[in-house]
Amino acid sequence: MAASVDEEATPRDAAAFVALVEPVLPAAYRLAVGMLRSREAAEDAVQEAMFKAWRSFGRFRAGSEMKPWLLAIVANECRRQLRNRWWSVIRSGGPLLDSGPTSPSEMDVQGADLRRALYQLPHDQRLVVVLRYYLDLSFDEVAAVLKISAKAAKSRTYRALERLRLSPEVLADE
Amino acid sequence: MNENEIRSRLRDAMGESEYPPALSANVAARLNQPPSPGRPRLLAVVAGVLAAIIVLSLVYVRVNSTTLRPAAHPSPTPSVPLPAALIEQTHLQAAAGLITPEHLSTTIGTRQVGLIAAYADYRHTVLFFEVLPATAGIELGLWDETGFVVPATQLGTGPDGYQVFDHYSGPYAGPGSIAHLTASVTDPFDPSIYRARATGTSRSICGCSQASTCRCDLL
Repeated sequence: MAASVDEEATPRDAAAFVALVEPVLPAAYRLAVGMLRSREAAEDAVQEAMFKAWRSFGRFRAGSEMKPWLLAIVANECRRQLRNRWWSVIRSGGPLLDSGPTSPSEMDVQGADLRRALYQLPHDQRLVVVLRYYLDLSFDEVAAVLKISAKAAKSRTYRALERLRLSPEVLADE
Repeated sequence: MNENEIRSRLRDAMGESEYPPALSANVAARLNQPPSPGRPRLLAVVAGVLAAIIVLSLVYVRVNSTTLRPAAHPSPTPSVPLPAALIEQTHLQAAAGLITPEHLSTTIGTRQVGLIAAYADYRHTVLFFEVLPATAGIELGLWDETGFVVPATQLGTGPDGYQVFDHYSGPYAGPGSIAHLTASVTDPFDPSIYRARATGTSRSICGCSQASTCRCDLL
């Protein structure tokens, strides 16, 4: 659901703001999990990002789409957390993969390699991959979050996939 | 590879995480708190340097992979005298025989920190520490050959001074499925700088996450 804001929706208190951003929270959380690999860190990032969004809500352009604006703030918060991890105290997250007892198949090993490669991508490239393939955003939506053109978003995605050795065919236009 | 295949592979690799139902409430609570204190960039740089130089221990880890031959019968008997509760906490009961003893120790401030055992497979990295006297958790940074695994994680305290690092991802394994791990250990509650170095080699660490699916190539 794409939340948009008009003049009347400007929140004056925390509860109103939460009601406004609530539809975006699942996507925000998913983005943070994809970027940070940790549920706990993702929750922290989303909470901090929403706090910052609330504080800077006056700069939000009325009538604009709220989702890309909020996701951009979450992405920045994830970047900040990753930079600060050298000295912040964080807790190791649990498994993101909710799987039952399985044997370590070739697929599992490949998945682990791919996951490791993904988290070694530069932040901007990892971000486009997470937005495009983990959040299922269109290239126009990815571009709106990154504040770049759709063409640039597609190009960045292509480069990231090449680094992941996923050999993309022509990427969809939508 | 088309986009659907790419999406499917990436999602399989990244896994899924359930949306926490309390997130909205937590966001609301956060909005009613004061802003986080600012942290000067210089302090971050200094702290990062300190974390890197405090304690380094090099651990060679053999990691399970599908190319390894299955172990005959991985023993559920611990090869290291660890409390059962600790092994249970890491869900390694079935693979307890594969937990490799380590003998790396150093002093951080007034505390003796020892890396006493380790285990790794393609989706787990587990390090067991003994910290005496037993007080708060130490902070661990861990790197493999490709970069950081976890830059800084405060460990949970277990019984009798045991502290466990349990990461749900295997380390990078090079030729021969050997992973080289570098760990830095700091005391988050002691601002002093301590410096020590320890090096050691594990006999082997082989992996299995479930009793029926263990694969291991013991050295």
